[in-house]
Amino acid sequence: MKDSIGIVISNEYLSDRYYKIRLKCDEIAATIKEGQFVLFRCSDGNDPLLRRPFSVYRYFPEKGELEFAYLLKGRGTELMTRLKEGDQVKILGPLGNYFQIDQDTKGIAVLGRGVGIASVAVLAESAALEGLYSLAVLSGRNKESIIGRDFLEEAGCEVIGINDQDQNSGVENIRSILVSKIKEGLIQQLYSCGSNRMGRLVKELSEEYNLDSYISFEEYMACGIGVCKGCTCKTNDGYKTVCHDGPIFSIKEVEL
Amino acid sequence: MKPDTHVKIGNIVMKNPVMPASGTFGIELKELLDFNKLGAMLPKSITYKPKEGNPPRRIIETACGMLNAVGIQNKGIHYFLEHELEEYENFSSPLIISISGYSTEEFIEMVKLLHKRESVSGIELNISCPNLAVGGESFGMDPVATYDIVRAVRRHTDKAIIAKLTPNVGDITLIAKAAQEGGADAVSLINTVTAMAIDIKTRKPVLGNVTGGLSGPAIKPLAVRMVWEVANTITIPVIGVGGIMNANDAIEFIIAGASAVQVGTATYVTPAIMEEIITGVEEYMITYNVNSIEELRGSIIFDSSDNSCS
Ligand SMILES: Cc1cc2nc3c(=O)[nH]c(=O)nc-3n(C[C@H](O)[C@H](O)[C@H](O)COP(=O)(O)OP(=O)(O)OC[C@H]3O[C@@H](n4cnc5c(N)ncnc54)[C@H](O)[C@@H]3O)c2cc1C
Ligand SMILES: Cc1cc2nc3c(=O)[nH]c(=O)nc-3n(C[C@H](O)[C@H](O)[C@H](O)COP(=O)(O)O)c2cc1C
Ligand code: FES
Repeated sequence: MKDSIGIVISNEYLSDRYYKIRLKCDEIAATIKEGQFVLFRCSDGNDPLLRRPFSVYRYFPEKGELEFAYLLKGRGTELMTRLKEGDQVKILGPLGNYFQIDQDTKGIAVLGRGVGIASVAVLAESAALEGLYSLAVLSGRNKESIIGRDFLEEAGCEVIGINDQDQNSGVENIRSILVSKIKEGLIQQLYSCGSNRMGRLVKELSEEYNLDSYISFEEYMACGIGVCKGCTCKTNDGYKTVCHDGPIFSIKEVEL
Repeated sequence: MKPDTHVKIGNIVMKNPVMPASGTFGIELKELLDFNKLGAMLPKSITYKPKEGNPPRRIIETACGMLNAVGIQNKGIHYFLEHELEEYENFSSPLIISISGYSTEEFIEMVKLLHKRESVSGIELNISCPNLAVGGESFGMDPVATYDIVRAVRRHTDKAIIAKLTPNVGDITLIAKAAQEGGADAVSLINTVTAMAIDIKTRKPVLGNVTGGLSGPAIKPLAVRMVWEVANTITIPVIGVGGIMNANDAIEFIIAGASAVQVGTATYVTPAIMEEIITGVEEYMITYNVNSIEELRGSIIFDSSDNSCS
């Protein structure tokens, strides 16, 4: 964990309200893992005051580079859209725990909804590159809000995009896609981020088919390192911090 | 020549006037901040029994500040003494432990336990918590309760006792005087300012606990005013807290009358900010030819024309 400086390589508009920023930051790129996040200092002043958390979208340790996909939401992300090539940003990371795939797993499915795609996409990519079967179910408001399809397909993932406009993003549709893959023996683990409805589906399927599954949580954060106890979520074992004990939790231990 | 930055709080000698504010410092920071450079270390408040804390949501950012309603989530003093204390013993800076309780008995029990520990240099009493014996008003909101609690724990230790004062009172100087009379070695102020936020879409309070405490730059002027008033009223050292983001802010508190400062919310924004503040205070002293913190403390200058009551 380092409080480091990232140099902006590019910062581009993707689609809908999504942007992608690429930074040079050797220290963090060398150690970050799938599912971890960093805290961005969006302004040098007091407003916005706290740093903002963003999951690593892609990382390139040999080049010392990192990518983050972000949704334009409020003041902090608005300031991020103004960053230009060569600008410097303070980033603290890598933070939190990371996604792990069991040794004997032959295939996984990731489920990302909206900006939650940014947290799970890199796991699907890495799994596919390692030769596992990797299914990415990407859900959004509309076609434009589905990010990451290009590099996931290139890595060899099976990508299924669903969206509210086309009315195919309902839980029942996702369930039937997943059940058939599970029954074919393609998938042994599920990973989800960005929607409680999908989280509940993952919980149900994991119980039904005995899958070792994980969910990535978001909570409002201040310190990002487990000091302030501001970012807690309820687990079977009492309150845990999303930043330090998470952001990834076993589906068995969380209430959804 | 290097200026003399040391300060004394009771029998604690600090090499510089900068320490963390309780709730914003923990062992997790050790990779990011050099604890040996600090004037003192001061971890999160602990309670006698373990405390689960408040339901989420616990924090929200507001203009130049933040609200928190964490509710002192901690594993209790026994766990702390067995598992956490030793982590701080690896560092050379004096260690001050913040305790909070719901009754005089709880405070006394904790002080007795801490008194036995050589590595503990001082005890800060977080008396902003509700006193269950008197129906929930916090000790720190009433001069008599403040006097009684300080007096009660004073008998059990000669380690430095710091009373941490809440700003949520009419006249904070009365509470500060009561703490001094009760035998405190110093007072620290201010704790967070009780505040709230409402989500206009759902019309619900944002925080799970409904109200919370405001901290950060938004409260600094309020804290400076209170430190100034208290420093003019009592003779024991005052530790200034509230919205300190950089060395200039720390210096402002010292000029207002603080002997030392605590840094809270700023550490969330920049984990190593206390190191920068320590260096910055020293640079200021060199630039302005100030030989010691004692010389700077309370050195506020009034022009006769400034006596307006605006
Ligand atoms: C572990 C983690 C990983 C995340 N990864 C991504 C990501 O990869 N891409 C992405 O676009 N977003 C991600 N987020 C959410 C992102 O942090 C918020 O959208 C961002 O902080 C909004 O900042 P803002 O100043 O633009 O909005 P603000 O104006 O501050 O707030 C708009 C809304 O955003 C939410 N928000 C604000 N600050 C935070 C915060 N510190 N933590 C959580 N929610 C917040 C609040 O609910 C608020 O109502 C992640 C959050 C967490 C906790
Ligand atoms: C998240 C959070 C938790 C806190 N917890 C405690 C605590 O346990 N005990 C205490 O005495 N003060 C606690 N405080 C108050 C701080 O110590 C400090 O008095 C206050 O935040 C003002 O200083 P600042 O503006 O520099 O943060 C807490 C503050 C924050 C923001
Ligand atoms: S953000 Fe401080 S504990 Fe998680």
